[in-house]
Amino acid sequence: MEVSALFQQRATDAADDARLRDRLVVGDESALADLHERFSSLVYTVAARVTRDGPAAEDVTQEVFLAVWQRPHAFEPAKGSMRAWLTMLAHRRAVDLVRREEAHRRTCRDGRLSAGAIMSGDPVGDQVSAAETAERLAAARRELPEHLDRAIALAYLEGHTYREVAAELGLPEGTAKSRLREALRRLAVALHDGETT
Amino acid sequence: MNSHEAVAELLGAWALDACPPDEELLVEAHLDSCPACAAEARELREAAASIGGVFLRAPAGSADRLLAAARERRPPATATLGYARAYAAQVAALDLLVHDLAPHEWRRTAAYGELTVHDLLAHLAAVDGLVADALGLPVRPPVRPGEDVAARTDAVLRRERDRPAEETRRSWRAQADAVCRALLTGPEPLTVSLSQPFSLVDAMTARAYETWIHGEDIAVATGRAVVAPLPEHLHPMADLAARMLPRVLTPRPAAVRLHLTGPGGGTWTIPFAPEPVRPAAELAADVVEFCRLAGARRDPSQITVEINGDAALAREFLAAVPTLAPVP
Repeated sequence: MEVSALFQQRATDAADDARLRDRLVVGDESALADLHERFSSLVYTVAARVTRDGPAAEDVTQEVFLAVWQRPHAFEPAKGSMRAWLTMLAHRRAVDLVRREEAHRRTCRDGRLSAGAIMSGDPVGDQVSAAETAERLAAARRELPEHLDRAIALAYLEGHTYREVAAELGLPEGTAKSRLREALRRLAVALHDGETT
Repeated sequence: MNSHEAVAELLGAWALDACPPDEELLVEAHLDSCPACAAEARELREAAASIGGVFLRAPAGSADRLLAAARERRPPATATLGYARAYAAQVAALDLLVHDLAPHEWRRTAAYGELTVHDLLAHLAAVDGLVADALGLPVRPPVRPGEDVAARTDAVLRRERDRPAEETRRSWRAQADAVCRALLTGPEPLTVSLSQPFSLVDAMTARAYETWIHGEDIAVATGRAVVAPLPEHLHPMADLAARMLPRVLTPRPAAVRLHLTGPGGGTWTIPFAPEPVRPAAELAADVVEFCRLAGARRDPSQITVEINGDAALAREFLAAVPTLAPVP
């Protein structure tokens, strides 16, 4: 995809997100159904990756969408995409749940991100854009140095704060912060490159 | 290290939800005032959103369970006929806005220098009651023969000021929903007397318009976000205003061409008198801002208008637009 086409696509996505938000504001039930249709797999996957528990992931997913229905104004299109916002809500709720219950059992202890399905659940079928994004990310992750990959795995998938990441890896806190930022920057660049080729 | 550098260092951790709560708040406050950090934060958040991938489908039936739970948490816009959907939508939006107001927010002055948020909702219920009465629905207090908008508002205000705001909200919403549902049963074509006689279709558009305008009054008074109507709801409101404008113009053989831009806009010829004449001026303005002007929520000098042709005629026209208000 050309860069100009990419920016055009982003503007279109932002307009779609804003309209979806405005339909939720005026109590349009079909907008909630559309939102669920578009993003439920993403939200459920994020929740499942963190909680490692199907029913808990479903609860998190439902609460995320209910929160948007009850407070659609909280989404500000100028600050980012609906996709990123829902992911953030799902991740925060899932991490809170795990921390509260302290029932977290990792099957993948080496800190590398696992790309496979992690628990009972229906694999998503041939959802082209999601599959493309996942493939770009998988490729980008393979390019990440191990020390960066491990840092974001601990933070994002295991729900640790950067201070806990620093303690876990025996690093100064400043270094842990830098690694998390650098890892995401590289992933962001890889995503852009994937979109513009 | 200054605060900008300190926050910039935290952006990766923030995007991954890996900041302690106090630092999370620190980052988010900074992002509101620093475009550079806000841009980077958006990029990092987008990257973080992709880490989990999409590998699992939400369990079967989750959409139905969600919609059932959603109706319990917040009632959706009530189903109704096409011409009343803008009204149902504005009612749902206003209900979302006021349903969790604090007691002191209900008492804030919101319009005309004297009406509180609570009063405004009672006023909306009062005028909606004239529509409900015309549809044969029971209305409390009963509408007296010949009761106009002002008298009706006074009667309802006297009643509602003695009731808790939450009860006023529930009554207003229940009556609005009943009006929407009554339209589905196919009422006979009728005229509804508000500030003037309206067809039922125009009456419902006028009710949508006033509900939106007072919703914005309440949003501003309580520091909440203002969201314009959807384009498909805004267009009939703009059309109603355009069709009513000749009533407030000094009659003479003149006309203007009005271009309202943006989603929901359109083009109208507004005659100053019934005899058709060629428009001597063209005006272009944003449709949302023009509707606010026609609702007397903007001053003609406040909105951006592009004028071509007879500038004096265009200015005369603009000066008259706010006198259309109050929207019935």
